[in-house]
Amino acid sequence: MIIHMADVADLVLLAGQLILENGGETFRVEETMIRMALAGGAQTADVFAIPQGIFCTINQGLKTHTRVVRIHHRGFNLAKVLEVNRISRQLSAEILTVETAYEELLKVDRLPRRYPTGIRLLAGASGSAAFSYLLGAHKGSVFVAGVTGLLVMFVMEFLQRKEILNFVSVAIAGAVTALANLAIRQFWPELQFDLAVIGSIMVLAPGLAITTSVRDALFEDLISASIRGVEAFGVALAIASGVGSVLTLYLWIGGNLP
Amino acid sequence: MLTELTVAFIAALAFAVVFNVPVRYLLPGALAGTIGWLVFRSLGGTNTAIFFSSLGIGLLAEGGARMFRVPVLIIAVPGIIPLVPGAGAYSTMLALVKGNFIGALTKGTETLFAAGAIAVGIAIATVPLRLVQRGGEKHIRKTAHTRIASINPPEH
Repeated sequence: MIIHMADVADLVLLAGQLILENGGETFRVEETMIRMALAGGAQTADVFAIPQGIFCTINQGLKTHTRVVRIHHRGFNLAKVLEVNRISRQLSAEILTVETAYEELLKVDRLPRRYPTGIRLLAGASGSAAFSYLLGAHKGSVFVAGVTGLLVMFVMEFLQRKEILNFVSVAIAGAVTALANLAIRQFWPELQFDLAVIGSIMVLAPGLAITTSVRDALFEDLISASIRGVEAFGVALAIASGVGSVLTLYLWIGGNLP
Repeated sequence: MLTELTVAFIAALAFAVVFNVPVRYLLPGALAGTIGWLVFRSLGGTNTAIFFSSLGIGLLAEGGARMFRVPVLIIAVPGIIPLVPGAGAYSTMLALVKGNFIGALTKGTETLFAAGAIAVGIAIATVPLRLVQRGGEKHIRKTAHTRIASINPPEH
């Protein structure tokens, strides 16, 4: 059976794109693509990936195939990274052929989110509540943090569906939770305002970007590491500007904060 | 203490669901988060505690990733979430809003170092397993390195 290198190039590029779009590290993208290209019959393969795109060249004999793909949208769906990992292993073990692996990858691409939106919202809410408890909040404030965390998740989900720029939607979500907590504090002054706000914005915290950035730096992918570091810092700044602008306005109209 | 650990478990579990970790691998991440919080609290909750805690989580994640054959991120990300210095970042922002720049600088530096402690902890955690195994990931990079043999010949 003749394997066309163009097919192998398509296969590895799709695999790399899926990993990168769903929150995998850069070295994982490069390593998986090289492994899959070699398993698919290429003699040599070279991949250069950064969070915004992938360049790859594979050759066999005298034929060289070079492809570039631009990554526009990045999210986090670790389940998809895991699936691509499995497909790559199965291709290396010759359980899958180039064609079947490509079909499997297309299936992964169409895979819906692992959890329905309702469960993700509830998870965000319980995460917020748990976080504010860990910071030492009372029962009532924990409850408020949970409710506002749910609100934050809901706002984020809504804005992401409308494809608003990530930094902007994070800032809006931060502003919304600050407003909601201020409103609740008007009716219930015992609310531990700061702890409730911190809990509810934790679902926006760039935990994945920090971890990926560190792991990229470890594998000497310094460009990716700095891009992700800047991303994490930018998200943190966006949260702070969202919450901060509401609090500034509140101070300006004569409110007082703890 | 026991309630606190349960809550840390719930927090890590909830964030794992938010990041779409498959059901089968929810438990390792949540357990890493719980153990990380135990270390963090028993060392007193300072930045040093954050370092040792994230070192522990990193080790668990590296070991677990090899055991279950999954990416390290699936265990590490839910694990470190409870350590993220949200309170420090909030107080920095609040100090800035109030115009207290000295306070913002103090709190901000503290927060930055807390984030740095997480980073260094995860980084150092990769060393022991790297020493034991013979660097598989580096190996494939070297063998795959391309020497361009020829440019495409003209098609006839």
